[in-house]
Amino acid sequence: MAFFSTLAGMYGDHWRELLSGLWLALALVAASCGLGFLAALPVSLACACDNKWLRWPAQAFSVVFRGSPLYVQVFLVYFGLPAAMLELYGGNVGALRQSMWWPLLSSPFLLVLVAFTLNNAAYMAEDLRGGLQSVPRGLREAALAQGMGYWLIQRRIVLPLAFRQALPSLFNEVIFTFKATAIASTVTLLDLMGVGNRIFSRTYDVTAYIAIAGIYLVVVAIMARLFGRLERHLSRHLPGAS
Amino acid sequence: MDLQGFGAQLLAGAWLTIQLAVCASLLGSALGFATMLAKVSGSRLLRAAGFGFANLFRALPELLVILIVYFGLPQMLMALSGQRVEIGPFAAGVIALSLIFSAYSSEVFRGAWRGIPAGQVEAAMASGMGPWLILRRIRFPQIVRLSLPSLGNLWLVLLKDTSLVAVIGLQELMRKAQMATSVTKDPFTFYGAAALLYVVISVVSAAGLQAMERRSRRGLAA
Repeated sequence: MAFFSTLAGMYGDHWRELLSGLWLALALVAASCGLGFLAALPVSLACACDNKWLRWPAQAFSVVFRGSPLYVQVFLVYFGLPAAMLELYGGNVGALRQSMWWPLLSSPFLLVLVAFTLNNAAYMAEDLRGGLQSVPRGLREAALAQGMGYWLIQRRIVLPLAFRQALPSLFNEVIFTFKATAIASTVTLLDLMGVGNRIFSRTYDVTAYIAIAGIYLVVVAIMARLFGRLERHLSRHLPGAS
Repeated sequence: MDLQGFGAQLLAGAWLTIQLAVCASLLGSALGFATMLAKVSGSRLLRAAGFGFANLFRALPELLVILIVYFGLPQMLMALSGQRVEIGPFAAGVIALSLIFSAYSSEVFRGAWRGIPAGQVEAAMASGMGPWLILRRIRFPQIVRLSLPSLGNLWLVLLKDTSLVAVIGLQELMRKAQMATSVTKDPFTFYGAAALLYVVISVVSAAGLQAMERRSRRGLAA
């Protein structure tokens, strides 16, 4: 019982902080999933392409970003990108400050967003590629026979079908990304996990972590339910869908 | 790529990463199998416990689980036993990662459990086999074969999650890269090298997993 009163006290004392942390995490999810999806479209098309000069770079991108941990990618971008840019500007910090890159390099949120977006692009491209492969060849051939060009076929026939097929996996990526926002706390961002860390370092009370665990559980449950409903809504015209 | 003498350190870190992943996947598979048995059991209480456990650890961020195990578990054990308990970063990492691995793998095992034709189990029962013998001789071997492809994917996810154990100070690959960076002030090289090492381990183990899958299917008609 003492535990639950401590837990309730944790929410009571820190709800403002916790809410702002949750907000930052959700902003990161929305931005990185939106941008990641946009980036995934060309990558998935390139992966399914016959031209090897388009296919190989896309596949290499996919292997590197799906084969290495997001944690490493965040550090690579957060610490590595500014260092690499500085090298490019010959070690001249003043010149770098004047450059168009400075707004990006000086914002922890934007740097983390870059890493998350690249990671999401790689995973979502893989989901979309699976969707693209599920589109029956006959549909493409029929569209071709109607005189549609490559881009018109992609836009009207292939991509909508691939998207619906890939939707469950894409929704999963959104939930994985929400869980992964905890990594942003390792580069001083005050997301939900970062707020939990701050409270823990002040109080040395593990209840702080239990408290944020509760929030993660609730948000993941809400997301899962919401996405399940959306999926059913989008496939309601299909035979066999309830 | 100039590693400034830190190459051996990175390789030592990679070796610890592999050890961590192997330990967590073995322990996690065993725990996942037990969780699956709870999920398919006749008892409503056991089923609820199995699903609750798996859903909990599938919903929590991996980093948070690692921190809760590292900081919270010793306190919990101390409250229970009254003795001072310390858990090192390696043990905490293995425990946390195997909890997560078991949550996902229990779902994989459950799918495989349901993939075994009921007729086989009935035939075994008709031959006079008890539930344990059926589990050992009929179900287990087929569950292993049916779940290998998905377990392989979980292994690749686990391999990447091990990097998070760096947060509690275990000197695996990611932590070694951080240490090298703090000395050389060259983050791009060392995090890049770490990322590539993870990719290499992933690609090599993916090839190994494919060979294991092929072997597990030997004797089956294609």
